[in-house]
Amino acid sequence: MKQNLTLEEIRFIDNYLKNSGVDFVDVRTEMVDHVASEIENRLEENNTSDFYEEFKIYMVQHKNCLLKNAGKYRWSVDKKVLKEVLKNLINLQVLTPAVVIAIILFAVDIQEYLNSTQISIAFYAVLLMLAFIPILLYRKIKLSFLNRIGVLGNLPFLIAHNIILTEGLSFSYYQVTYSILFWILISFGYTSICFAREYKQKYQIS
Amino acid sequence: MSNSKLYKGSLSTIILKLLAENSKMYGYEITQKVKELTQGELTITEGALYPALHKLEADGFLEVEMQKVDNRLRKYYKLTQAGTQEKVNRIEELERFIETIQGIVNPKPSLG
Repeated sequence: MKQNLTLEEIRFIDNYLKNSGVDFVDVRTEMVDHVASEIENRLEENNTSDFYEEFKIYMVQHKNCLLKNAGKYRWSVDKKVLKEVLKNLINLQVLTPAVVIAIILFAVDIQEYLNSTQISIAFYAVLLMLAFIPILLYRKIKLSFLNRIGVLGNLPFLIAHNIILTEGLSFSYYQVTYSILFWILISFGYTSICFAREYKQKYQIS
Repeated sequence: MSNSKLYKGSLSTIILKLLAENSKMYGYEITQKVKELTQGELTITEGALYPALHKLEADGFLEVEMQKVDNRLRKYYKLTQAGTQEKVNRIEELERFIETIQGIVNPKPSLG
């Protein structure tokens, strides 16, 4: 007869994987179910054994393979995130603030108040603050895609830093470039909020 | 997948085929089903299965559904519409491949 693992035994597997470096809840959830299913299966076949004995045997046999799998999520997550960021670029909730920012950038002659270096630094700081909003909002939730959004969301900054700060473009170019950067960044922010909501519900994170 | 490198290239096709026959499946269930269908000849390891499932999901061929089962969360995979079409293409491709290899391994004697 099939013996289901108790909540304490499931937590034990979860903690073990967490302590072994499987940080992200979404990656770990699937692994916990896999390990638990296998142990339940083994306990059904050998009812003289117990959970800890079977867990030990399983980990000796499969730990390396299991942990190797835990690190292979990046490419899939990156693809999913980038697809969604691109799709959201034309979402009204992204497009509206992006257009407003672009209009402000073109309407206000910032050069009257700041020189080009100061403008670059100011915009760079604003972009950086915007990027930190989702990180601050969801810092306690360990989800693989939030981590990857953090990494991928740095790309606009690299562009800003390498092209604008070092090349010193003309002001009209600043307006276009920063409008695009804000647009992309708003899409990254919006995507992270949507994903966080979806995953919080899916993985029952409070 | 432990038995042979020969199976590696077919893993995604195997997953798509199984999901087409069962409305939804979870990772461990897939490994057990493959073991059962091949009488233990083929075993899919965790290290091969989950990256393949995640890749198919990122490509838009699979969608996921979470369910609370036996004190834990379980991730079920289902074929999307694109996945159903992809399964047909990949099975055709695999059949052509098997036929080609068959022609090399067991060539039909020529009449001439």
